[in-house]
Amino acid sequence: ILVKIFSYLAPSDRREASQTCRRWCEASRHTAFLANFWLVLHRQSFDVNIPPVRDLLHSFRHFPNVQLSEVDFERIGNFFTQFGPHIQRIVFQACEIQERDMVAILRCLPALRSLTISSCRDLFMCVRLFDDPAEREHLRAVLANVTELSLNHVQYLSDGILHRIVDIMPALRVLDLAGCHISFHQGLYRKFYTGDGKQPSESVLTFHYISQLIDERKESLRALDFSETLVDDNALEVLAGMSPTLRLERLDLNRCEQLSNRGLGSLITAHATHLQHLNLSKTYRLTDACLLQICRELTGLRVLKMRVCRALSNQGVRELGQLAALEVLDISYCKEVNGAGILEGIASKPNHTLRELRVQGLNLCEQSVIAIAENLSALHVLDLGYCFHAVSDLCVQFIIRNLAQLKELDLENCGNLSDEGLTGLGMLPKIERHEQQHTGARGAERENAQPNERPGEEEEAPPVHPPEPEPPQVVAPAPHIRISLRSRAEKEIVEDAERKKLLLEAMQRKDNLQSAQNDSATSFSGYYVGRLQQLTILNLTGCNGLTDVTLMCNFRIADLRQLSLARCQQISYDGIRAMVQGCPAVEHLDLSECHNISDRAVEQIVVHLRRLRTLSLRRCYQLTDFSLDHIACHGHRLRELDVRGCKHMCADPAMRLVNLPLLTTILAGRQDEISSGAFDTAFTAIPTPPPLPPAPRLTMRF
Amino acid sequence: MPTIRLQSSDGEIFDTDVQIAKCSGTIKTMLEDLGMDEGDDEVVPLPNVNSAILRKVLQWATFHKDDPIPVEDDDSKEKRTDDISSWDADFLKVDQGTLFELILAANYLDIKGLLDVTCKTVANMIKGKTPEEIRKTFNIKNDFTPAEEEQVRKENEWCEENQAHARFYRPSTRNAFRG
Repeated sequence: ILVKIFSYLAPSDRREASQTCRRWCEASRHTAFLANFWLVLHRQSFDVNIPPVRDLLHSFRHFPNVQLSEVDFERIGNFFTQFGPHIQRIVFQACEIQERDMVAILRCLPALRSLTISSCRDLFMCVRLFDDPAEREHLRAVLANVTELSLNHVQYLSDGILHRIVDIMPALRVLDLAGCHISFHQGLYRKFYTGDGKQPSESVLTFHYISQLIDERKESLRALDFSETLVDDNALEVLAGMSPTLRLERLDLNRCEQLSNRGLGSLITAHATHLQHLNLSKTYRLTDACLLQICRELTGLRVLKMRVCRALSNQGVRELGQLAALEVLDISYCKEVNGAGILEGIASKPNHTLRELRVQGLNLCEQSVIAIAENLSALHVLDLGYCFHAVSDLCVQFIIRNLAQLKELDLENCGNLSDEGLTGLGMLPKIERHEQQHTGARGAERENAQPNERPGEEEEAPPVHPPEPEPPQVVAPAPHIRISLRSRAEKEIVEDAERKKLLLEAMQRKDNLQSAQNDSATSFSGYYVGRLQQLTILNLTGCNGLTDVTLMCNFRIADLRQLSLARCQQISYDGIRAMVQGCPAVEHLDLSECHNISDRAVEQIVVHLRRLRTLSLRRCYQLTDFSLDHIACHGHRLRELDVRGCKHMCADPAMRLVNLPLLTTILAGRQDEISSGAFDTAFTAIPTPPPLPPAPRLTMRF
Repeated sequence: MPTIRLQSSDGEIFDTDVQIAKCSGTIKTMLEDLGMDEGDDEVVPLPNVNSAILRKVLQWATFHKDDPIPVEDDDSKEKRTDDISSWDADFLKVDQGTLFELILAANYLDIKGLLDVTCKTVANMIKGKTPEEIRKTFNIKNDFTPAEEEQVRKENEWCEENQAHARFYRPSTRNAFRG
């Protein structure tokens, strides 16, 4: 029964529960729960004699998934002999590891299904990797179950190395070579493959060899990833030629700028029946023709990502309704697409299969967002970042009311949003009026009687208007002589005033949370964001119309794990204090540029958000060293801290935080220029992938 | 209306409508296997359920007797905890002991709907809490030795839920901050 209860919990809650007693600990280690649990070591030293690895050796549990990023391997000892038999997925990312250790590790992983090696330079600089045939024989027996191989962003990968690695994995179904320097030009191939051309080259990675490889394995291969490479139309036509034996289900071609409709067209037609996942983000030369082809031919498509495909327009997007099985759609930043296209293409009728929709930066209109909220009831992820014209308080109310299963809501930089949208205070009449407009408009269309629309609407209005406890100046039941007394505009003005009054009262009673709760219960109010109980990620960056009232009015979301209130400059201590009480499971909090945050607020954060792992206080000018002391006292789980631009702090915050061994990433610096974008790359502790090499000089086209 | 007589562990007899009693898979199987005639004077013994709990279970079953039969849980479907009806929520405003007894009874009597809703309630009581708070809420005795507790805590530090197997960025940072 414990297992059944635990199955309703999020993994982070299960982790906490497992520390209560032995029975609960055992229950939390049920195999079903471990499937997605990863052992993650970041910026640690892998040495069996020192923690953390030393402590992990004493563990009784299995680690089915292991991720090692920026780890240097000192002494692997018997860690992998002990835990290896149960490891199913392993990721090496920017690690310092030698061939000897890699071979030793791989030998211990008979249950391995997925191997990912991402930019481990040292490993691939020894040219003859896996050269010993006897060793390969042994490894091939061990790694018989590996179905996924990912060698992404490996600078020194060559045909020879690829050949030998693939040789030891007979059961491959997924091959990922994103970000590797593959050369696609025939000329280069001829230069390095002099002689009989049979031995795979040790100096270059060519598509010629890779295509041979794919050809050999075409019966078992199901997924390919050539993102961030120079793959071109000819290459795709080669791949198209390998079907029907090659049955691709998943194809990722992210940031492949060389591609155009021609190559994709042939590939799509060739794999039309089984392709389920297609990622074509940033292929700038794709046009509507290609999208139309996708919509017509790829009937089984479940995932479609075409982010920043600038050439797409409404014409293509309109046909998206044909993809009946679509679950994930990302058309962010396709600037030509606007609300009309979305309305027709996606949100024209109820759709219960679409689960993830990302439409960042599109020129939407309010109506289309409301249509999305009303028709796409199964949405788990909705990303409306930078749709600042479209996202209004009314839209957000509809989203909160209708999309009950939402797990991720992203409203970055939607400047029109205010407290009313997220708390629902005073929004009910506006919502109802919108719905009346809709039914009224539809009725008028049917009857085709335009002049009757206005008075007809007004007659409907009085019975529907909610009974108000407010003073009678709002609704005047007195007989009216002229129609304009109850005109729509006047009603709006009056309601606006009521709403502002409610908000003002809420703000003045900020120290009394209880009354804030009662406010939302009045019949004048709509829906507060706390109703989205499954929300785990909420991004409100740059919504600086929001004040503490939003956080204080029923902001209680038990599952919330990531919250961003960056650049919401009106947020202060009161709001933070309410938020940390209501959302205790927050693990990642971004309060950059919230200038009104004080040391006391930081104290509240670290004391109450016990699971906090990442905290950004960038450019919170009021903060002093007291904040650092609070963090040092309470921030036991913290791993990443950003205090750049905090002018009143000491020059070296790391000195005051030495007692937190988990805190491996501290970003500091009192002088912090305001430059957007730098934040993102600086904060991720991994170096960004190397830029694509310049286009080859050969101008011959084949 | 045909009735059936259920006897709790402490001897109290409850006369219940057969339809309501059949909410319980266990009772349903018992009736069918033993071929009991309805309207009989025979009593169905339920040795694992005491009278107070049985009374509450029957109360729940009476309210929910017209519910459609819940389908088998699809393991791949998301498990939600926020879809408890207000009647159920009020019904389950009981002390810890009763709540756990109800879970055990629902399990023994095989009443899926009641089992689901009680487990969800307990899950909601666990969410967001630290281990110490959870122990306090449920009166759990901490039977770890200090060394064991430390070991579990340390292991948990290095574990993450990593749904999307992010490639070269850590899913935590990228997602939260302008991913």
